[in-house]
Amino acid sequence: MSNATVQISITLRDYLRADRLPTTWCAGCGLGIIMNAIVQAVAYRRLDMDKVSMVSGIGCTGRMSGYVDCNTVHTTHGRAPAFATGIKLARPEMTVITVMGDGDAMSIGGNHLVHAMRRNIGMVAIVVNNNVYGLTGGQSSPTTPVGGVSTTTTAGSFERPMDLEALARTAGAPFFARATVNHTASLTMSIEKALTVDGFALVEVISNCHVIYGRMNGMPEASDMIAAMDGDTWRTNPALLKRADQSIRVTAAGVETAQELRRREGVSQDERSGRGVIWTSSGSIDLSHRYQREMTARQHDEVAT
Amino acid sequence: MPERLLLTGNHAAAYGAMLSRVEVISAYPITPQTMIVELLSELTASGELPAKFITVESEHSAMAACVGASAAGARAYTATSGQGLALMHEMLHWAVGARLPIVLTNVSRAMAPGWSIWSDQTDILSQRDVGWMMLFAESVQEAQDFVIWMYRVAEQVYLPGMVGMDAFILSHTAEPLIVHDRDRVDAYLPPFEPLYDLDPADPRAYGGLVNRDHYFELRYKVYEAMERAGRLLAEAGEEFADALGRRYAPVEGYMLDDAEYVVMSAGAMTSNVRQAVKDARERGMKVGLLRLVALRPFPFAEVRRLLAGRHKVAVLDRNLSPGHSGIFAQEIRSALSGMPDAPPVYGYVMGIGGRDVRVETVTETLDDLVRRDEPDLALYVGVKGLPIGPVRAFEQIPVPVKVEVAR
Repeated sequence: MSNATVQISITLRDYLRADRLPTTWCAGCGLGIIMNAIVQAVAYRRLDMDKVSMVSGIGCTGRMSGYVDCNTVHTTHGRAPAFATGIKLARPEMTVITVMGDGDAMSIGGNHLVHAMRRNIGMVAIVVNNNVYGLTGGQSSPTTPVGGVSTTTTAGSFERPMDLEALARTAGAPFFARATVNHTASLTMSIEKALTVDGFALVEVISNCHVIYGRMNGMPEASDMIAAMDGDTWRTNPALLKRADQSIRVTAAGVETAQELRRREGVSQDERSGRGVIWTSSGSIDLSHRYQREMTARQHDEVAT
Repeated sequence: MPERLLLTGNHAAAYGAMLSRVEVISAYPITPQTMIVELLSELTASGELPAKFITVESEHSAMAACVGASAAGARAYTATSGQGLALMHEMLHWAVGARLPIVLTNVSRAMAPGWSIWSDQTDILSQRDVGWMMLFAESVQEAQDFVIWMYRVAEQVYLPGMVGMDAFILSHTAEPLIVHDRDRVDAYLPPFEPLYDLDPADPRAYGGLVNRDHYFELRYKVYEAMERAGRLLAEAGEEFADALGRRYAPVEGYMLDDAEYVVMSAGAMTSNVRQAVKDARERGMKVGLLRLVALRPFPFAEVRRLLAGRHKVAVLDRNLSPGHSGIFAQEIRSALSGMPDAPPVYGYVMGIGGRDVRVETVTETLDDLVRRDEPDLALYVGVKGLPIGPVRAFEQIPVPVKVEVAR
C-alpha cells in the first residue's frame, strides 16, 4: 500500500500546478476527488500533458483548469464544448478534456453540449453534477431535484431535473458513463475508458455540494452526501432519492418518471444510482464493481512494474 | 410609515423591484448580482411580492422571457452583470424595437478574460447604443429608487431602461435604506398600461418583417421617444421629491458655483470623488464635481451649461474603449463640441478591474490636472510602476491615410 501512496504523490506533483494550490474549493468538496481521478486516468493512459488540453466553463468546476498543468483554457459560462470544438479542429492530435458543472453544461451551455455530441467531436466531457449553482451561492440548477431547496427555490423546486444520460442518448454521444465521488475507482476507470473513445465521451459525475446545497437540504456534512451516493444507502439521501424518483424518460409511449419505470420494468434502484451506468455505441456495459476490481488489479500492476 | 433598514445595494435593488410591483421576474445567477434575484425569489415565495419568478437557462433567455412578459402586458424585471449583460445584448435590442418598458439592474463588473468579478463599467457602457435608458446609482438608496424612477419614465415612452450599480463597492455595501410606503409608490408609479396587449380577441402579429419602406420610421419613433424621455426623466425626478421625499436629476453638481476645475464622475466611486473635491476646497483649490446620473438620454443642455467657461475638466472613467479613450470622456467631449467657451477635457482612466479608487487617488488626479498643460485623450491612473500619464511612448510611425482630393 505504501508504494501506491508514493506513486500517487508523484503523480500529483507532475500533473498539477502546485503553486496554485490550495484550491478555492470548500473542504470536503467532491471536485478535488474528481480532479485527482482525471489526473490518474491521464497518467494511466500515459498521455503527455503537453498534448492534453483542459477546457473549463464557469462555476466551481470551472476553476479546475487553473490547477491542472496542461494546456488549459478557462472559458465562458456554458461554452466550454464550443471552445473545445475549435481546439479539436485546429489540433486534432490533442486530447481534449472539457470540465463543466451541471448548470454550465445543461442550462446556459445546453445547446453547445448537444451539438458537440451530435457532431461527435472528439473530446472527453466531464459534467460534475452537484444539483446546484455552487459558486454563485446556491441557486437552483437544471438538476435540482423536485422539492430541493435552493436560494431561488426556497419553498422547494418544482421543475423536473434534466436527465443527462437521456440527453446523451438522444444527441447520439457514442459513450456515456455515470460515476460518483464515492466510487473513486470506478470514477477513474470511467474517465480512463472515456479517454480511449475516438469520438465524444460524456462522463457525468455525481458530486457533493454539502456547504451550500447540503446545508439547505439536511445534509450539512460532506460525508452525509458522499455516503449517500451508494445503492445501499440511497434511501437515506433525500436529494438523491428525489432525483431518482423524479427524473423523467421520454419514450415513444410518452413521458414517464423513473419511479414509474422502476415499477414497470423492475429496474433496480442501483441502476439509477450514482454507481451508474456505462454505455457505448456498441451497447450498455455494466457496471462499477467490475471496474473496481479491474482497477485494483491495474494498480497492483503499476506498482509491480 | 416608510421603513428604515440597513441593506446592501443588491437588496435595495430587489426592494426597488418589489415597490414597483413587478409582475414577472426572469433571471440567471451571476456574481455579484445574484443577491438581487435571490431576495426577489424569497419575496415571491413568501407571497410578499405577488409576482411570477423564474430562473431560466441563461441571461439571453432571461431577457427573452422579460420581452415576452412585457409584450403580454406585465411589468417585467431582471438583474444581471458583466458577461450576463453581454449575453443579453441581442435581446436588449429587441426590447427597444418592440417598445417594451422593461427595467433591469446591472451590477457592473469587469469583462473576461482574465476573469474578474470586480468593479468596472465597461460592461454597461458597451450597451450604450442599444437604445436603453441608463442611470448610474451612487448609493444604496438610489439602487432602490432608480428602479422606481426608471419604470415611471420607461412606461411613459415605451422604452426599456437599465440602472447601473458598481460591483461590491455598492452591490455588497450596506447603508441605511428608506423603504418607501407602498401606497405612495403606487401613487407615483401607476399600473403598467401596455401599448399593445396580447389579446386573443384582438390578435396581432409581433416582430414582423419590415422592408426598407418602414424600418426607418419605426426607428425614428424610438429616437423621438428617447428625446422625449430626457424631459420626462427630469420631471419624474422632481416629482419623486414630492411623492417620496427625494429629488433626483439627470445631472448633479457639487461645489460647482465658482469652480475653475471640474471633475466628472458617474456611479458609486463618485462618493470618494466628492470627498476629494471637498478636501481640495479646504486646501483652497477651486474645484467642483459634476456627477452624470443619466447617460441615456444624454443631458446635453445641463452638461454644457455646467461646464461652460471652466478652466479645465477632468473626466474619471472606470472603463475604456481601446483605441479611443474613456467612454464618459468621449461623451463629455462630444457634448462640448462646438461650444465657444468649452473647457479642455482631460480623460483619466482608473479603477479598471476593481482597482481601488480611493479619495487619495482622486486627490493625486486633481493635482495632476492642475499641473498638466495639455489635455490628453486618456491618462492612466494607478498602473503598477507607472506615473499618471498617457500610454508609454513608442516609436511613432506616421500612419498613411488614404485621401482622395476634390481636384
